[in-house]
Amino acid sequence: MVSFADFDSRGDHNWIVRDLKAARAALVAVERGCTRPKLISSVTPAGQFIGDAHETIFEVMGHLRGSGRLYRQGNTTIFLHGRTRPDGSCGPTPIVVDGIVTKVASPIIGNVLMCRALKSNPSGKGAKADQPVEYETQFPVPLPVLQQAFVSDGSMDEIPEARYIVNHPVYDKDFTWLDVGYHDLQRILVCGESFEPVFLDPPRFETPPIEVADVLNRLPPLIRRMVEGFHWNGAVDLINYIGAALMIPLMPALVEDGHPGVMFWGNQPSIGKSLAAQCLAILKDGEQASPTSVEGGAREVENQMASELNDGRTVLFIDNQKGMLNIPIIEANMTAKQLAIRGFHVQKKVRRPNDLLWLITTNDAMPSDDLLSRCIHIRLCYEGLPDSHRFAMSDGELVAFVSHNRSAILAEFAGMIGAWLAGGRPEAGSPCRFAIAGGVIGSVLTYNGLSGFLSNTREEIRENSAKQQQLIELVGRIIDSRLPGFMWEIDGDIDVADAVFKKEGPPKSPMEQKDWVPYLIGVGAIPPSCDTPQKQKKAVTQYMGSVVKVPIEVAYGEVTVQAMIVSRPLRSRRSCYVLAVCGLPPAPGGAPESSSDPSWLAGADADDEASTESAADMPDDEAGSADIKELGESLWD
Amino acid sequence: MELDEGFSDEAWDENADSGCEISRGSSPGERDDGAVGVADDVAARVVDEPAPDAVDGGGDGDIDSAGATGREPAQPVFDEREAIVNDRARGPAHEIAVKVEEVAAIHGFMIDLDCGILNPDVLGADAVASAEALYNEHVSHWLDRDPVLAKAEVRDTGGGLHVLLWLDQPILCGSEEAREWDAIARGIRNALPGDPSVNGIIAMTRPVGALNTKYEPPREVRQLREGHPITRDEILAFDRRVTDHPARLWMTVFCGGERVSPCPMCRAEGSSLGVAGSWQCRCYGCGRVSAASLVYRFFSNDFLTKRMG
Repeated sequence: MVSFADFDSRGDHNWIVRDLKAARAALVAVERGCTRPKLISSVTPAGQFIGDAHETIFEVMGHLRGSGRLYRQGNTTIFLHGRTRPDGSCGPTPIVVDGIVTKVASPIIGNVLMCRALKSNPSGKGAKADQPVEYETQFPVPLPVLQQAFVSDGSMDEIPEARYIVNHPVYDKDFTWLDVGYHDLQRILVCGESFEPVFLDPPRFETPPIEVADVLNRLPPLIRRMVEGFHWNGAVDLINYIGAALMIPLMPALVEDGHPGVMFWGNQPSIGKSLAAQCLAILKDGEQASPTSVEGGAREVENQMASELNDGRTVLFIDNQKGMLNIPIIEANMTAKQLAIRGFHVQKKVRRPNDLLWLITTNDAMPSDDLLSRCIHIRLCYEGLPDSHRFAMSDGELVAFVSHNRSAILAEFAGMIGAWLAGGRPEAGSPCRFAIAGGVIGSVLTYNGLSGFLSNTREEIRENSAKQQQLIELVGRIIDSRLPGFMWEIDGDIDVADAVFKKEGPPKSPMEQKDWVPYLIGVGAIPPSCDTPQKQKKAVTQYMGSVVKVPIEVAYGEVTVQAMIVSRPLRSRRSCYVLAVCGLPPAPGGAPESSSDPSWLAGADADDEASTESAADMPDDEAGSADIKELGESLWD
Repeated sequence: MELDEGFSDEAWDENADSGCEISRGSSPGERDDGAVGVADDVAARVVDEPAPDAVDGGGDGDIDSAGATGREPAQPVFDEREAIVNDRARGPAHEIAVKVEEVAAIHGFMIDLDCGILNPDVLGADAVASAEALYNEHVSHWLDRDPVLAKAEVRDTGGGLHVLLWLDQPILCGSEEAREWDAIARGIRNALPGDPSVNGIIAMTRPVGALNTKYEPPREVRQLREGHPITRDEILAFDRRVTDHPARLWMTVFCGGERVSPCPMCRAEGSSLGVAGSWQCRCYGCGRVSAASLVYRFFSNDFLTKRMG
């Protein structure tokens, strides 16, 4: 017969000690707000299987799937890390990239699954004298076991796919509001704090906003509080900023068609460009973005981007850029539907939908044309010493305000979209390289009384594009010198000039690539390294191909002149170009005599003969048609 | 019939009464430690077929056929249970039982004091024979000595007492947290000599006024003590006291203070037993003893022998 004294010993029979130990561990887990992992005992620390390996793999994957924290995104398997549910501050952490288990997978999976093994100490001597004869050890699931589990047939089939993982409620591409949780139909995992769109009764405005104050008066209260302290250059800049923020709750709807980046300009440093960008980053990810350096080449940029993605961040922030800004890896990925980035230490590329928010700030950088055309341009302007300006809130206060009210602010943005949806989705989109982004966001803004979205894009590109600047200079010089054969003054619509030029016969003196070489060298459009006729011809062809049919406006005295380089093919795979000009006033004192030898023209003498030769090749049987007469006949006279 | 660890006497009896059979094969409900959760037994393995050894012989499940017992024919009498989780459903055990993973809301915690497993040499024959006597002579005093236990409701279920700690607001939890709360509930039941075979959070009580049909004639469930709701923080603090300083708690609850004379273990004249650490008590007569002995001594030797297995 057993008495209670016999229970005062170690062993499974001592249920009170066992229960209280388990209760204490559970108490700690409950107070910490997270649960303890399940334990399996059929693997060794070295990764060997005890018993049937297939059964253990099935058990491991069953536990992981059952945790509800495992999702597939692109070629990556994501584990929700930090919280057991999508709500709160959980972070999606990649644990398998293209079938390769990452080094952090074991400890992260240890949140839900651990292994245990019994160790024996039969001698009870030496350093282990104090240890019991048999004791339990626990350890993370070894990497080989995880690797085997994740590549076993069918193991990934039942893991839900999360095409998008966002940490705030969003609209899907059908404009259905998705709150926190996994949405099987849309394959979207929404983490973070739950909220609903705030439907404010938008005041009806018939007239577009003129001043920044007009825009502020039309904004919901928290959004207004967030943006009112910045020194916006004009109403369109603030509207563009609101439009950029609207991309955040609309992102799943914009990925398929692509979405623009956001480029912040400032007339001088320290006027809030980075702060404005960080506010968007906080709205998107819930925390400030760490700047990505573009120094070190494309590989380094890729590494940094992969690092941000691996941290669960969806904002790429390139801060305070200077000089030439030509980053093909960013330009390529910014418009791509799917990101493909090779991360550090990983031989495979991370592939996932491009739901990133791309933020760039600069004062005087010279971005490439590709980058300029891919961005929403927001300009801040403050006249005076930077230190003398004051925001409505200090930087820290504003960051704290946006962080603290992130959900409420996003709810107001979502409410603006919701109001547009409730109003029947009236279309009033803005012309944009990204049709859906421009159409939807422009319509939402217009419905909420904020028309003019992206209306500054062409002007910003013209002002900031190095190629545009070269073209303007080239046009200015040609107009100033009024060189015969290079300029075609027309009176009609300049947009049809190219068609007319191609339709009619070649001009009397067609200016081919070799004729344009000195002009392009003069404005720096052709690098000095092009020192042979073949190289020069190729460079001219390449440059002209990029500027032909591009309408530009240049100031000439008191008037604005419309201009466009037009082209037409000649025989023998040659082409001729001419600058069509509209609205050019007569030159004071008539055309310059020195038109064939302007002082800035490099190498003009060498080309005189060539120009004559090319003119001799001209077929003149097609000249003098009605279209030419309508526009201007100077080239064919 | 020998019970596996983790099987509830209650559930076992329930199924025996109802003519059901329980499979003991491995199942998805098997715990990591090898034991089998009772919830699985009740919910998943109950087979609605009459067993040859059914107690009432009628094989009519939970329904105690009045005709078969010769009592006045009336409405069939159900062995009604009340869940303390989720929607606090009432009904036959096999209908309202849930698995731990299926618990979404916890309304209370239960300690089952089963007269049949207690030691008459320690508690007295009357207390072991009658649940009401057990309450009046011992349990009421134990409860009064702790601020959390003092708020417990006590029900006389016929063969024992259900000490119920009701929460003012249900604790909402997912499946993973439910496992933690189940462990906490199992710890809490050891504050008193509760039946270790009973489940944690998915244990079921019997509603007041229901009939316990395990006995003949059936016994009515009565409320012996009205309870008062406690908060989540109170239950966590209580669990911490049970798990961190059990010696102090058990000495206070069972003996009325942290030192008692004579020593309840050796009962030697002039001896005294006092708290000597979180898990230890010390008597200068019988020496240092584990605090758990303060609880184990309340269980009968037959029960302990069966547990030792």
